Amino acid sequence: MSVLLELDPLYILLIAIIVFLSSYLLISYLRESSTQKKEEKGKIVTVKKCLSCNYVLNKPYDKGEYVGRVGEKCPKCGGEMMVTAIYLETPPQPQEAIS
Amino acid sequence: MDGVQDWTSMLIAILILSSFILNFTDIPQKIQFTRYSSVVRRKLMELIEFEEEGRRKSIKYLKDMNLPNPKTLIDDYVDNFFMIFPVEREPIDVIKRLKHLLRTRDEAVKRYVLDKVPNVSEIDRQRIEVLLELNSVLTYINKVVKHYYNLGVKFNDWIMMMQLALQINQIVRLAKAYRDAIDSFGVGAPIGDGAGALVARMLLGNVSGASEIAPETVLYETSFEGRKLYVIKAKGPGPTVGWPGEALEKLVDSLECRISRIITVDAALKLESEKSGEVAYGVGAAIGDLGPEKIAMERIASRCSVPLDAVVIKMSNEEAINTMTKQVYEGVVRAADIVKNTILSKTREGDAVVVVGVGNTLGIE
Ligand SMILES: [Zn+2]
Repeated sequence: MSVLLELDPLYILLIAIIVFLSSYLLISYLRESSTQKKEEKGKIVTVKKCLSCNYVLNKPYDKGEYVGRVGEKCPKCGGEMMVTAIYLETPPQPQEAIS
Repeated sequence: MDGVQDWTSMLIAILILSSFILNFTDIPQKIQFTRYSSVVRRKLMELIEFEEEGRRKSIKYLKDMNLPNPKTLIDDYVDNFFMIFPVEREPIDVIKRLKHLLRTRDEAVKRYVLDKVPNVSEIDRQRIEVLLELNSVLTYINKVVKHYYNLGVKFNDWIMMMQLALQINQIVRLAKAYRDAIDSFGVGAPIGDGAGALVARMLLGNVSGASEIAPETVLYETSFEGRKLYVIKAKGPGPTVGWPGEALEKLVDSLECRISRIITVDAALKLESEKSGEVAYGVGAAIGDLGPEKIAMERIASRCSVPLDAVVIKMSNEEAINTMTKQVYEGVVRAADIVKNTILSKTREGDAVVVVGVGNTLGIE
């Protein structure tokens, strides 16, 4: 005979409630700690475009760059390049909201 | 059989006792109060950490600008420079009064920075002002949370504590956005709120030669498919929003209303179900100031009966004050296309069109 059948049904109920409550607490704790650590900073990208040959160059952002800045030489034709965009590339985030 | 009966009578006794406790005492609320207040206390520690971290980072950025004593600069600013809103019960000229107060405050902040740091460049001055403002906001958020926490403890107000505990996650999220914004403004790359200014820049291509039409606000003149195109935006690349309403008013006045369309572009707060970078268009003045700039745009458009269009790029609160994300940037590209299409389909060759790129122009000339 298994041990369970020898026990009083009320004991089984009590054990079930305790198991349920403790697993609920554990799960809610784990969920909270897992939402806290997903903090990944992305990289900032600078997009430069050549004003004469339309060559586009993506590079990591350097301090002091701003959209509209001209002055650098195009590696292809030697023309002037302008910063056309600066943005943050973030790793894709899990979507939880209903859209 | 006897054992089972013992158990059942005990269970019934427990049920009666617990129903008495639940219904006729405050013990459950006391327990909840303890639980909720411990949640708030834990989150409050996080908020205090955000404030201190923000302070540390700002001091670092200010030191990098070679300021002598950044700590006192921040400490003397925080808590001061509030603005008391004008009386609204008497609405006559309330906008004029509000505008006056806003300008006075702006001037006072500017004077404060210039007094403490003479010979500072305009861009650095604007950066210092933004850093001071962000620190001020973080301190204020903490003070409000502490206020309600202390009130709750003082009066054993479990409802207040519960409300605070339920809202604190949103408050922490907001404070975190402001703390991160200190880094974003320190780095100097465009922020999400700069979407409108970036659309303006995209329409300009490599046009330069702006004239400062209003304080910290510039006007570019160019042409697009046979139309005369006037573009107004804040003066970059420092972090400023300028006075776009005043600028538009001056421009349209100087052209004696010979304008066939005004298009305003701005960042807008998205609803939770919307995606970042969604673009929508409609009519009206797309600008989220306290009133004076928006009403200036509406007044001048209606006085000259010029159609006033609005194009908005949607994003969250956090995205608006942090470095522009790729999704928002893609929205900016779409918004620029919408503005171009609007000009092509709703104006004729030879017409004059004004595009106002509203928003903080950090990192965008
Ligand atoms: Zn080239």
